[in-house]
Amino acid sequence: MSAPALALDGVRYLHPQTRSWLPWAHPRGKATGVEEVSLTVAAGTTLGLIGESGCGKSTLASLIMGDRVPQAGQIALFGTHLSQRLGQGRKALARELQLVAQDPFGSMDPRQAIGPQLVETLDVHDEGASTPERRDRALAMLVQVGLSEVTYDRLPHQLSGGQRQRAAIARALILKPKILVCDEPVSALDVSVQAQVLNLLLDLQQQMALTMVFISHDIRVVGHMSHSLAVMRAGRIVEQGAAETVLAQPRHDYTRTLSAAVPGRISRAVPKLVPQLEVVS
Amino acid sequence: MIRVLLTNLARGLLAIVLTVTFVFVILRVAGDPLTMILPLEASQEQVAATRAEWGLDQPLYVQYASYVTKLLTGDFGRSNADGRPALSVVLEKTPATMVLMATGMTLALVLGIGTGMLAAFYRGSVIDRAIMGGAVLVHAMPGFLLCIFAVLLFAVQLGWLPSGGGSTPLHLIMPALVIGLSAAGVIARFVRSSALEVLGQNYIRVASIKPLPRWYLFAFHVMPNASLPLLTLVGFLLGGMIGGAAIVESVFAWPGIGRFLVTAVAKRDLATVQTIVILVSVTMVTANLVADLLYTVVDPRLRNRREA
Amino acid sequence: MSLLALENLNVAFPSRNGLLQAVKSVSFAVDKGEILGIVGESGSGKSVTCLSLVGLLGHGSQVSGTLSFDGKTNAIADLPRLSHGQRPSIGMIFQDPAAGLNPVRTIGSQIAEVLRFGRGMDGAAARRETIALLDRVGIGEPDARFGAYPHQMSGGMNQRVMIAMALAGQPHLLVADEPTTALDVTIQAQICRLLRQLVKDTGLSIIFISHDLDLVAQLCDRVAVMFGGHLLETQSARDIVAAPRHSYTQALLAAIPGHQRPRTRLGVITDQMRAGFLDRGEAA
Repeated sequence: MSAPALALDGVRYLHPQTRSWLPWAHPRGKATGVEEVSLTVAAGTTLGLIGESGCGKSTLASLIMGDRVPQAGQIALFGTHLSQRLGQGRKALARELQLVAQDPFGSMDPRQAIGPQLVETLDVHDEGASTPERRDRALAMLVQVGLSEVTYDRLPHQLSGGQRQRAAIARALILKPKILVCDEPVSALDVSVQAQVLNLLLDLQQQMALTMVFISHDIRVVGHMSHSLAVMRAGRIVEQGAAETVLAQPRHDYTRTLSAAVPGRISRAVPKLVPQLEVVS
Repeated sequence: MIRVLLTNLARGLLAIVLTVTFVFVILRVAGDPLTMILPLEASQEQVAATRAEWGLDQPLYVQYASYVTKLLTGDFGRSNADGRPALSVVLEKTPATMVLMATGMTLALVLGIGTGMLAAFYRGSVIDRAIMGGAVLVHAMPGFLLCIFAVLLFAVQLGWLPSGGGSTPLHLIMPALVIGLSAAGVIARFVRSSALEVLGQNYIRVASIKPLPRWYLFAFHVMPNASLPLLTLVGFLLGGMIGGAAIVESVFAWPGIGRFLVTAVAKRDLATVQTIVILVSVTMVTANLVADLLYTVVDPRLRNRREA
Repeated sequence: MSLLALENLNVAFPSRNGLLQAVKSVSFAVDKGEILGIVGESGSGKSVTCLSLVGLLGHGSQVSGTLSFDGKTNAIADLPRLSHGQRPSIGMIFQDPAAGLNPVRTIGSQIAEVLRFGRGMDGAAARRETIALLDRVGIGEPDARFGAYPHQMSGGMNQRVMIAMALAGQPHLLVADEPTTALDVTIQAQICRLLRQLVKDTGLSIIFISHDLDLVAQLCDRVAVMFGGHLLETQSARDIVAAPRHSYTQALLAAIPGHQRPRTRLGVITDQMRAGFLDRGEAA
């Protein structure tokens, strides 16, 4: 059996607490971060992370991306330790592992058009034999994420929220990474636009055999996108398992509370008299 | 929080030390101080003797070291005008400047906050534009020009106020006005934008649904928030005022240390100049420290956070 | 007789490209003790509609329409000019509770001032009543919390404070504009429970605005759907989900994750569909 795409074992990272100036006094506030986190993600599947604010989701995302070094435990990508990969340079890691974040503006240069930014990514990684070839690949990527070719010359602020997020996805995937971490990718979008971006991610996962780690505060979104789910609370994983069972038959009290709080019991329980998409006049 | 306080204190001390050192060096390097102390016809022996007496024949760093040592024992040197201890001479003149500063700052605050709030209240109207235009004008005008205008108008043309001196409260009006006016302009613009920013906040929108009278809304919701950033500005402005005091006091012949400094520099009265510089640096550093401290007292968000 | 009847609300804002119609011919009614939900995406006009009820629309807006509340009828455009005593007894809470509270004043004082100026109470009585209100909205240790500042409390608690502040004015109707969107899901559930309890205990009516159709269908008695400034349909909560009449509502339901089998494609709303939603003459 091949190694899982992503494996975390006993990972710990606690943020430094504010220390009182008196040398003997206890540090103020609770320690935040993650502790004792062990997870595996099979290749080509999606792991969803659910938890409320302050549970450590973002810290975990930064640990997986290699932005932070665990204070204890190991993170492995396809069997190789992350620290080893980082030792080979960030560029090497970028070909395996990419991030899509909540605010697409944050990851894009506001003064450069979309197309050239994609080409630049290829440039930096010495992908593609020549500039025209890189341009072609950039265009192909834009089409693959559902944007029209004219987007190539547009600046980020000229696009709608959904289009910007697609562009961010294009930039993340142009190097054909094997693992994609999505940290609140649709939180800032309207429901209808959200659906389009989620559909896109599902399509791309199939087309590119992507492994995904999907983080969102919206449990319905995570539940829809994931094969397996992990529930986080106060920096620890309290429950994990197949997506269908974790929410439907929660074992841990906290998961039960979370699941009960998710709105939609009525909508889900009521049989639909009208088929989903057709317009009935 | 105490750590922050200590750090600020240390920074302030460093600022004072650097300022004094800088002035010390400049005074001795830019021209021979002796030319001011002695009459032109002094003989070589007299010059050499005076030089030795004032320690000016030693190398610079030796002079500096001895100066610092003397400072730490409270000896600020002697004024070469009359030989009296520099510290006493300077301290004599300080109250006059303090009165001028206090009056000027009060005027600036009252005028500045008042007009700034008015401008924000009537945003976009003629009043707003007039106030802002005035603020810019007053700020752009060089200090001495303002002084001269004031003297020409109120003293010469109208004859309402005396043109110089410091003997009566009437003499205080013009210099305080000139000093305060420029600062008022800066404060008005600052208060206006701060108030407008606060007015755009959600909690003001929420408060406007409540059955609160307009004046209460302004006094208890807008003003406290709009005035907070003013605290740091005031500390900063005080420095500018002290700088401007030299010019204002000179034009109006107000007997304060500003004017005294100008004459002392001209006379190369080293001890006095250095003493004044120390005094001014200490005042500025203290003012800014106090402003920072007050900020933490006044803004509840900066006080010790308790877990709710 | 309904508590509130909004007739023909139209709101337009001047913009660089001429007049922008934010709300077009919106009418609805709310009964005593009822929770009405208004669902819409951004730009649907749901927030503007509710701001008009409390007279919070900016100076530049052009408004028409009438509001009948508690037997009295007013033109919406007149509402901002009425004194507090003459206005309809409507309170409002907003999305970001921390931003809605003055950061340099205690939460107690912000509630008490409503009591002092609105109900003429003196300092001591206002303080007592404030503590009672804080208790009513489920804030523990209310006398200690009176002197607390907003930054010392969590988002959920601040939202409870906002509710208490609105209740201090003894409103007959509470307008809640996305009150739980910025809160964690378990806190959201608590706040919704609190709102339901208040309705049950005091006969308060609520207009609850959200982009979350599931949430609204769960909390509210009736649901109205808005799109592009129009009110498309209003039905009972159960029916809006089980048998939506308008194609937009149907499309919205298909787009929300959680209703379909996991990892299948969600229904999309294309621009073409958007153009068609408004000219079918389906507006109810």
